[in-house]
Amino acid sequence: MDNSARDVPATSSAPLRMRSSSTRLILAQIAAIAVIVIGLLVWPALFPQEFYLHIAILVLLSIIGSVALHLVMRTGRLSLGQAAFCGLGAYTSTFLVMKVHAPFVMGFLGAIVVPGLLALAIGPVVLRLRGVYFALITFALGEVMQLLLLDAQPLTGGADGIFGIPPPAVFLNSPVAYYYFALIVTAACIGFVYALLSSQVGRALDAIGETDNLAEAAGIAASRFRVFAFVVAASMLGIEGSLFAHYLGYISPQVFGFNASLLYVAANVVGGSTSLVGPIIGSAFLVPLPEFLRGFVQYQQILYGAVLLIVVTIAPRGLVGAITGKMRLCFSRRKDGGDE
Amino acid sequence: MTVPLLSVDRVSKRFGGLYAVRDLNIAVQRGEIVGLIGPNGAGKTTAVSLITGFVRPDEGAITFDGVDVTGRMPHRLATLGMVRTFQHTASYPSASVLENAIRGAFLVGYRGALASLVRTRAARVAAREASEYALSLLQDLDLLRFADRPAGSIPYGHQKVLGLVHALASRPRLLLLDEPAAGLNQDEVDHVRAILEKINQSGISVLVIDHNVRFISGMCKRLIVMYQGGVLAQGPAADVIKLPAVIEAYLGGMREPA
Amino acid sequence: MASSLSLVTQIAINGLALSAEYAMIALGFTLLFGILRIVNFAHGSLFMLGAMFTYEFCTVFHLPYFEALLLGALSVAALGLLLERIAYRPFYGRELQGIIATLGLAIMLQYAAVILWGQQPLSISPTPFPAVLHIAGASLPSGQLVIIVIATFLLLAFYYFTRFTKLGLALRVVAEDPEIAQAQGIHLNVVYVATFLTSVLLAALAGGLIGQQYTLTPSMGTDALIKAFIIVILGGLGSVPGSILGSVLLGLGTSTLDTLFGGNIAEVTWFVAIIVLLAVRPSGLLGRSHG
Repeated sequence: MDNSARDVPATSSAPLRMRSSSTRLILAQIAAIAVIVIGLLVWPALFPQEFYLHIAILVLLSIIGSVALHLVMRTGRLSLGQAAFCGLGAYTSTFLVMKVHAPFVMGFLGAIVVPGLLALAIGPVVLRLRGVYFALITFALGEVMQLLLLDAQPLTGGADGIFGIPPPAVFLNSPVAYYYFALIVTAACIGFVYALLSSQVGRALDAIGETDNLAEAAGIAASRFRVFAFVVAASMLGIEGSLFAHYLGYISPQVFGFNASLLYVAANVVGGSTSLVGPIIGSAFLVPLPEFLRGFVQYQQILYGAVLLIVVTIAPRGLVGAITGKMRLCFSRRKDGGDE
Repeated sequence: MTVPLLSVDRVSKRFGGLYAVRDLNIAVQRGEIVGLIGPNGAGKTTAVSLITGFVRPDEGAITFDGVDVTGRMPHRLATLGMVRTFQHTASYPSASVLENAIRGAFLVGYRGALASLVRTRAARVAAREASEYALSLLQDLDLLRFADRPAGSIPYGHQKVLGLVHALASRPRLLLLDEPAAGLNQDEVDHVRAILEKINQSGISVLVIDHNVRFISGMCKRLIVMYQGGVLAQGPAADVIKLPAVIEAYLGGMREPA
Repeated sequence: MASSLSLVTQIAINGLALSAEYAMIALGFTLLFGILRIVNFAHGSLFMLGAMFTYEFCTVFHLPYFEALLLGALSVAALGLLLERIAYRPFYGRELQGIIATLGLAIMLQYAAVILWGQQPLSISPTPFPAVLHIAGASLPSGQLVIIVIATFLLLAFYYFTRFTKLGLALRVVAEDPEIAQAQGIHLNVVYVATFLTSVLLAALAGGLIGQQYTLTPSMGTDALIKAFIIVILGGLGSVPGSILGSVLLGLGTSTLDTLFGGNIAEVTWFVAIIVLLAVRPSGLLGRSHG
């Protein structure tokens, strides 16, 4: 990767940005990535029990949604209703496969297109709101989607949900196979978002995430880019929904409620919302968390709430912010003129 | 009589029940540097916001280089070559100085979402051009040493200059500057003035809002005085500031530099 | 037939009762935002705790209803003072982080309630207002009449307070412009604490009052919060008259839709209405926004 200013990634606050002055940092990062990639590939060999595979798959799927929300947050909007798109994707995919008897590919595509269309329809209106207003309206969106899913009994089976959703293909019936399937899809999603954020489009997104006015003055169509990010995020959530439905074999409206939306938010908050790594780490941390307190659901939730409160109080830039702060100290040499 | 580069015809804007700008007629000729002055509340910033598309006029028309741009979005106007700066937001505080400049050059470096994502040759060439142009601007304006620093952490005077870099980076034909020298000391004000004169000499037309009399009348041959939403007077700088009506409108309002 | 008059009357009465309930829930919420710029996601939880504490004082301590109500509300307010330190004060001026913080708090409070009271529905029994009034063929439980009366009283008291008392006027100045308020010698901290307390008290009172009419569960706060959201979007965040207007709209509208159609039609309708409202008034409900 070219290290000159010509390929400066979209945001200079991204902690993974390469600095030609600290090759040790680069080597450390490459080593870390290598370890992670190898670990991911051999995970099923290391932890073959179904339980661990199950957790791993859930983490991977959750990462897709957290990364999707991250994209929206980069443009300066906090959405509390992203699970609506996930649910819509799940039910669309399920409907196409089970009622229309279409092949999984069609269900998958449907899960991409339908939430994307919804986001395209309401985005231009809803994204005009900012800050708390946007948070409120997306919260409402999430609630209404859940209500609609509950009410549309003939289509969705209502509160009972839908059982017996088939896996995408016969050979994906086993957890190991689905793990690799989820790994590939998640990696593709992450790769896509990374490519997006490090491109000129990502530059525009970061600009409008900071100040609409300056961006507009420089020719960046703020609203258009924001809707774009919103639609892409919705489609990604649809993908997560589809994969989720065909893995678990069962979906119900309760799964796609506020708690799910909150998980994406929490992943970004806990992991850190300034870089793509944040939501990934956040999901990896938060999804398995309830498993450590199995049998004490109430305590899980209290811990969950406490984690949110504590992290946002003492580490506003999340785990990634705290860690990269330390990494900078360890690895980079201070230049004259100062480094922040 | 040449066709002006920018023509504001009978533009009005109401907020609530009050007119912020009423029946405004302004023209900027090609290649000139014109000052827009007036006491607080005269509507100068509103006028600039109306011209550059940040606020939609209730009445009137705005024409830029023969194109009707009334009510068009600011980003559209930037593509046509009209860029403004802001009084209170000089730059993106969290982004580095270099990133600020590159963002300003967005139009230079962008060839569409798909090309950008796929990294086509044309897109990469354009992106490189934008970065290089941004760097050269930083160099010309002596900000290169701050390139990696967050813009919010550099001295205020430099932030204002960075705001100018951001505006210049898209290669505009007309710059509308909202108080580019506000809050600066005398040396910095002179520095900004030198920059603006150089910009104007390179062919870019400039409209400047400012309160600093010496700054603006030294730099601008022509002044437009706004008062209560309309144009009170306009003409050669030296004459306009001596008009009794102007002095009265300003009573206590116009600030001499320290 | 006489039944259509009684149907309309029933809808109107239900609507009035609902409006009163919603107004109480929304008032504290909008107050906190108008003055402190805080979106309190834990507002519903405080409402729920007000109901739970009232229940506790009624059924476990066997206090008469109104005493239980008052004690319950004051207990929640005391808790609120503690919570303000932890979950609100660090986030004044940091809107988005405040949202996360209050969300975390809301979850903690809700599940603490689950641990303390379980998830089974509870009710305050024996019901303190068993009588049912009959007006023009429609029925109005006296408990709901109590809610209407008290809500109206609180709103009037609040109006009087903000118009005619020193603290109330200070509140309004701070809501407009904190810097000017400070320049005029108003102690911002006093106003902030007073506002926070008022908001919590209103929420808890609403919970305790509404609790005698409905069943209580730890998740009842979520529904109240959603109602508050809808109302403030309709009427404008931070606007007290707006909240009242929004409450009436929501109350009467929900009553009408529920009676005529049932199901979740009402909730869906409100969301669509909000979207349409935003489309028609693209600059948002409060005009040009404030960032």
